[in-house]
Amino acid sequence: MTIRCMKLAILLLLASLLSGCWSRRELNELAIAAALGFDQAPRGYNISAQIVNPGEIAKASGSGRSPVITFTTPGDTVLQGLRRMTKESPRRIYGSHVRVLVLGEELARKGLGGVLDILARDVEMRTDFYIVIARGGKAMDILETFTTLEKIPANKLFTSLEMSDKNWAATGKVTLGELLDDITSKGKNPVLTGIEIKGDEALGKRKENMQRAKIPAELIYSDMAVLKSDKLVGWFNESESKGYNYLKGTVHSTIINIPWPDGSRIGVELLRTKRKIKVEWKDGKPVAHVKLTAEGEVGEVQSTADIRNPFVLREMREKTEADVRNRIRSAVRRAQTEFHSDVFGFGEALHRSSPRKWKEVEDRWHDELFPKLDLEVQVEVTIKRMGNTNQSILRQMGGHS
Amino acid sequence: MPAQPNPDSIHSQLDDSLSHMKQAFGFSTDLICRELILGRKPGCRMALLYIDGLAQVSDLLQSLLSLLTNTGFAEGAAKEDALQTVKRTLIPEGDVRELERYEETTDALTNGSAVLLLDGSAAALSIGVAQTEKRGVEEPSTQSVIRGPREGFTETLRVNTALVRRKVRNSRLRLESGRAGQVTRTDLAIMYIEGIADPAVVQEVRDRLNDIRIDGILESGYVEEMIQDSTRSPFPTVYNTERPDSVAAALLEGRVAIFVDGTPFVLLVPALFMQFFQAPEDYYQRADFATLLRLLRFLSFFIALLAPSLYIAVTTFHQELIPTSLLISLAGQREGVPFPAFVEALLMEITFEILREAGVRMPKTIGQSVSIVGTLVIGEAAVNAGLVSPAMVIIVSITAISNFVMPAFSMGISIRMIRLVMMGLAASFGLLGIIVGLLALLLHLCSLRSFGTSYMTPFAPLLMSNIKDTLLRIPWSGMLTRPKPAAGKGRNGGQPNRKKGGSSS
Repeated sequence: MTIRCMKLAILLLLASLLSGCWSRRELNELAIAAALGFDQAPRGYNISAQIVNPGEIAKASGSGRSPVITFTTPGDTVLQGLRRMTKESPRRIYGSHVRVLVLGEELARKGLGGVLDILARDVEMRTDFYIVIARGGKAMDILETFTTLEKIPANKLFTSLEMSDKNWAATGKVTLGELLDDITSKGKNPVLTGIEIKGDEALGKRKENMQRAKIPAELIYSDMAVLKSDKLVGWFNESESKGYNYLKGTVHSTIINIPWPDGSRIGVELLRTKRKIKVEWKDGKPVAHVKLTAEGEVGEVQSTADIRNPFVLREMREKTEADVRNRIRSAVRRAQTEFHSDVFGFGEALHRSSPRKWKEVEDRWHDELFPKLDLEVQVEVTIKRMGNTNQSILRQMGGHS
Repeated sequence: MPAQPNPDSIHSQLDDSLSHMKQAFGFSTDLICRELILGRKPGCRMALLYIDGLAQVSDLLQSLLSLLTNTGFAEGAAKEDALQTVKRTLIPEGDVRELERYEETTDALTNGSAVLLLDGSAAALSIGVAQTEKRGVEEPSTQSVIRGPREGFTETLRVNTALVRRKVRNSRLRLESGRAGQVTRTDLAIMYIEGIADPAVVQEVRDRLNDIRIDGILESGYVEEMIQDSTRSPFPTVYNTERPDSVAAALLEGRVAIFVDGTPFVLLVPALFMQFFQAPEDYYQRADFATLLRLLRFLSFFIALLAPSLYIAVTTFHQELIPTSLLISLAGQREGVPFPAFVEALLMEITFEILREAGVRMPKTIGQSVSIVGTLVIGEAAVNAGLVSPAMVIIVSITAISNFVMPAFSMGISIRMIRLVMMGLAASFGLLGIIVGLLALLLHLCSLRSFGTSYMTPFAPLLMSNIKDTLLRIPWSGMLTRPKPAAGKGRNGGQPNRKKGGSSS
């Protein structure tokens, strides 16, 4: 009995000691990558990683060293580049906490298929980080720019995208999972949000960039890139980006400015949009019925209009609806005529409503049939609240001027 | 064989028996022999023996002497009757027994009784005049409550049994006495309520107590170790308490209490895992609050058991589980710490255990200085010197504090031991190791038994009616049934699980 126990104990000890903690990594042996950037290089890719300097960020008062370090190495494959990076970095690049992946525009135009595989395959990577495209520039430049408020630029990219997605609706947060879904789907093409550096690019890479109230170089999101399969084919403008998001049904809150007959403007806050898309096959071409319902709130009144008057409210509502409708139409029209890329998922909707027809047309969808698609948009907005005050200040001033 | 069949029988000649007694005690100086003469003329010699300090004889002597000299002792009375006469007419004490053998006499003396030997009589009288140095009934120091009785057991067995009897005024409350310890001859008593306690369990307790073969019992811990089901398990299968109200409550639940003379700690069996999460106060406070406290205790149990190992596992194997900003903060704290997280945790744990042990043993007057040094060493200096990270200090502190939430100290000890094992598993296998460790722990807990009852009752086996007082403490109006006797009808057919041979080792 005792001998058996001893044997068991020895076995257990061996099992735990000989394994030698083989996959153990102490926190201070890791280079936590907050953002990755891929650029097209003459041969292969340039891989950039923005590494957090935890000592600088964790402490209440930093010692003045840079909060992040960006390494860039070339590699024929992404993995090779990442591993080659250990020549520069004293620690192994740890990718689980990547928050943003920035892709250079050049690379995006040539196709993303090649670089996405490792992200989907590597067990260390999550699929919940956002992917953006460096508009007209290189990913490494984006990663090398310092930001304020958020010490880690990747964090700024992440939260700022979340915020603008929530409150402005002209950007879209696309995670790796969604991107992979869209790229592999035949009935829907992906879009990605663009990012660019506004201001002095060279100054942005110096730490002084963080020390001014008016920042010399800023990272800002700009509009959305339309992809055809895995290649970038063009950019939506802001209005079309919004139209795209309405159609996608992801608008949580945004502002619509409607021009008023007296030359002033009224801002309506649009909340809680819901949309239904149905695509059917009619007379040899696809017809899409889009129905969008939304709740509105009077956000800002620059006019002296009597907004308690139901007729005024109705006019306000109709103008809001028209604005939304126009944006949707212009986005779809541009995708149809210029990009030949169905980024709205009409193909998928057709697949759902008539799967057999879809089987026939799926290969010709983006280039032949999608451009012919007839769009019927129906927008219903109900204006529910007016905020804390009823009439505008201008009107209360008695200004029938 | 007409005369003296047994060499242990008391001699009828007083001189013989006296010398025999003195020799039995090796002429110990605290054995007092007071010789007296009974009756006027011819007189009947007798001797009062007692051990100084154990027996309170002054009252007895006074009454004997006054009666002896004044009352005419029937002259013709046969010497054989003298003993009876003395017993019936002369002794004011209540507890008087006739003894015939020397062994009984020495027993009586060591118990604190006085022994009266008469010349010409082959018997002796033991007179219960024991007096003991008693500590007063004080507030128990180990299990204190905010609301609830303040009395605690003392070192005297009789006081302790009386404290319980005062709470359960019922003739069905049974008390059985016995002795254990071949040298110390310590008094033991078991107490249970006839009709509530399972007779099989009571018999099992009797059997196990009778099986105890040991020289000395100085504390109930000796008994606990001798009668528990499994000595190899880190978990306690016998509950101990200093509180009469806890004992009374346990008796009402059908448990058996074991009192040991000389210690305020009373044992309760069978002891279930859940019992170690129940504090007496749960039943004196509001039920809803008590339920919340129970949940808090379970939380603390897991914190005390797992906090360091989870920290080790997550920070060395599964960094992807930590939210990004927390990870960066932790990584920042670990910058420059020279040890792996496991060594760091072990260092802190050991330091804390040293401080705690020192705190228990050291004289109270220097406690303050040790705690100051401890706080400074652990809290400040180690962090400032960069030997440990502040997060680890937090983890170890919360672990240590959670450990004290356990109402039963014995369960706290188990947690401390298992925690170290868990830390080792976490350091070599990460979360996988912790899960395997927890599974092994669960299997072990489910296989344990305490006096025939499955340790994890009422969860395994599931007894729905007993759950009302486990995770929850439902109000009294809802506690309509007594806890079912939980003797598992499982593998051994309801037979209490007898320990084999453990008592003789």
